[in-house]
Amino acid sequence: MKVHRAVKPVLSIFLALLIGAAVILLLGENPVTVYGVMFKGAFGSTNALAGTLVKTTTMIFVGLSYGFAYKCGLVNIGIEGQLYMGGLLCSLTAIYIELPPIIHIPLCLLAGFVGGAAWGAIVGFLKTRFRASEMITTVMMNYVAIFFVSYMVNGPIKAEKGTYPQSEPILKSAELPTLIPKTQLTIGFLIAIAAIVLYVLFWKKTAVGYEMEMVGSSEQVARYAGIPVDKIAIWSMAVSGGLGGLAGCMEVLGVQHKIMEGLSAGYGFDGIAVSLLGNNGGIGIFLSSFLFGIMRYGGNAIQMFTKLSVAVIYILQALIILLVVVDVFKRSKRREQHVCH
Amino acid sequence: MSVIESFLSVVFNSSTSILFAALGILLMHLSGVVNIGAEGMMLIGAFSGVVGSHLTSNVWLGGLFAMAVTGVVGLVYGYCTITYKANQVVVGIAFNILAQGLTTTLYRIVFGMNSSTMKVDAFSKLGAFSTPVYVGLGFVIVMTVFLNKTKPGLKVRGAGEYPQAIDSMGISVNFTRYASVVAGSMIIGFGGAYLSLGQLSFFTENMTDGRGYIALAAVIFGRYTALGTWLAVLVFGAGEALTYRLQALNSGVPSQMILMIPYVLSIVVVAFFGQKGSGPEALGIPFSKDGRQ
Repeated sequence: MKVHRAVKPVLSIFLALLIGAAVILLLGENPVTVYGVMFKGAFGSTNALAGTLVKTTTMIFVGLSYGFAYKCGLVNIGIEGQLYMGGLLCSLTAIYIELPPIIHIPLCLLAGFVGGAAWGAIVGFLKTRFRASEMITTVMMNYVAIFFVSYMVNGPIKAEKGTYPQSEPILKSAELPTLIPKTQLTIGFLIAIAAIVLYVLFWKKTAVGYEMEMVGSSEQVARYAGIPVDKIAIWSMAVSGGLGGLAGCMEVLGVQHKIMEGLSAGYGFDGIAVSLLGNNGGIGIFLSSFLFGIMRYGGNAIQMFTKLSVAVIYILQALIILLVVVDVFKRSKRREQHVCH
Repeated sequence: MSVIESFLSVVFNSSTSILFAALGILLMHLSGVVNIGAEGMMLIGAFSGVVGSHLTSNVWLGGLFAMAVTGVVGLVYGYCTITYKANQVVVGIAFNILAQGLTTTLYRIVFGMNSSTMKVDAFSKLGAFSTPVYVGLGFVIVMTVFLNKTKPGLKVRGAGEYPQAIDSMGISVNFTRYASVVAGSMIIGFGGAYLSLGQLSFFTENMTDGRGYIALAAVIFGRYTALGTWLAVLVFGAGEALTYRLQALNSGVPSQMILMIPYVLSIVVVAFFGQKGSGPEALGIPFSKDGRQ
């Protein structure tokens, strides 16, 4: 069964690429060329590979974010907003507080985590206190966060020089040190790997993780077992939001070195696909983050060198999600089960 | 007087796209199928409406084309969620992402990059309102009668409320759900077409801006009745009209804070009026004859 579990996502990706190829063909482009351009854009040079890993870093955090809430039975479609609020708090800390790097960077990360966590906790609170469906509140909170950041960078924290709606650059002491000089690959990638390890340990080794998973699999059973379900749901949304906030930190401290409108190109929504494809496991999330890093970074090349827009990767992404959840490969198995009973 | 008149005209004109979407969602939800994908269906409706209107030079044919396309989309949605029993929420999210990718990509290919100047035939006005506004109001009544007074309407509600009972009467739950999903998707698609052909007369990338989700909030706020949904939609329409008015007033309030209004409003509404108990009993649960999922 272990093999089957590992093979299924690969088949899903393969089928998605195949259907995607048919779509690209219908759009009047050569799929081999388009995929080739994407592949070269993602791996063609040291710079390209670094760029791919930078996107992988962001993908890891949004994937962990969705996975964390999902394991507790919650659907977090609000990662985009949490990313923005995390990015905002992180950049405020990075711009206006002067500290040596060894303290400054962790403090910025903490601020980003808190920003996203607060945004997520509101959703958890509304859900437990008022039974407000998180599927709607998270989406609405996205818009509120994006508008709020837009307000901030157009008004209170707008850079004095220049006309663009963006903040002052962050202080040098808050910039993440690079791993490969002259590229954007920073220690953020290592922080993301560490986050995956912590994520796995949390679910495998801690009592809280066990309780959260129990709430996720059956709220009723968890209630009978005396687990404080409401408190756990709020915490789970908070941590999920915090991880989304860290994705914002990676963009601010590692890539943009400031905050502006359009900080995220919809990365928050990628988290859903990353987590589902990776089956919420550590290695799974890492691999699917890498795949989405390739698509995200290589996707830019598609826009540059072909007629297609970068939006074509959304089609691939949606197909992957659908093929994973629709589970075309499970059908025959289900029939067998019926025979058994 | 004219201020009130123009305010009301904005309320009705801007809420009609959400009204159609909400009524479509209502039909699907009552049959027991969750639709988080309304946002994407609206987007596809908005896009195909412009394409249809452009090709036929007739706005009503454009609207019909949009309905036909979203009907097919609904069929696929039903295939994933009813036949394959996939997680309805996740499928909905995937449809939103798919719609964004497809419409953006296709738009650039069909119309090129600088096409906001392209003219399409748009819905004309009849008195103070655009024609579909009246269609929408009539449709609220049609839906109310359909859901409460007709046999197919009762079947739909039964499929969402107590599918086992419907099944034991020899009615196919899954067929009823399929029909509701396809019809609901077509209605949502028309709402999208009204957005690009009535409210505006062009398509822009991601032009739905969360309206599909707002429509979902309206269904919950409206307590799963057509009339209630309509009233809820009017509240959101008033919120949107207020947004325009405050922007025009130059009140000194930052525009971003004003633009937040509809979204904050829907959070408040879902929080205070969205108690889960009012939804259909079997909402989101795929139906199997042996009761297993």
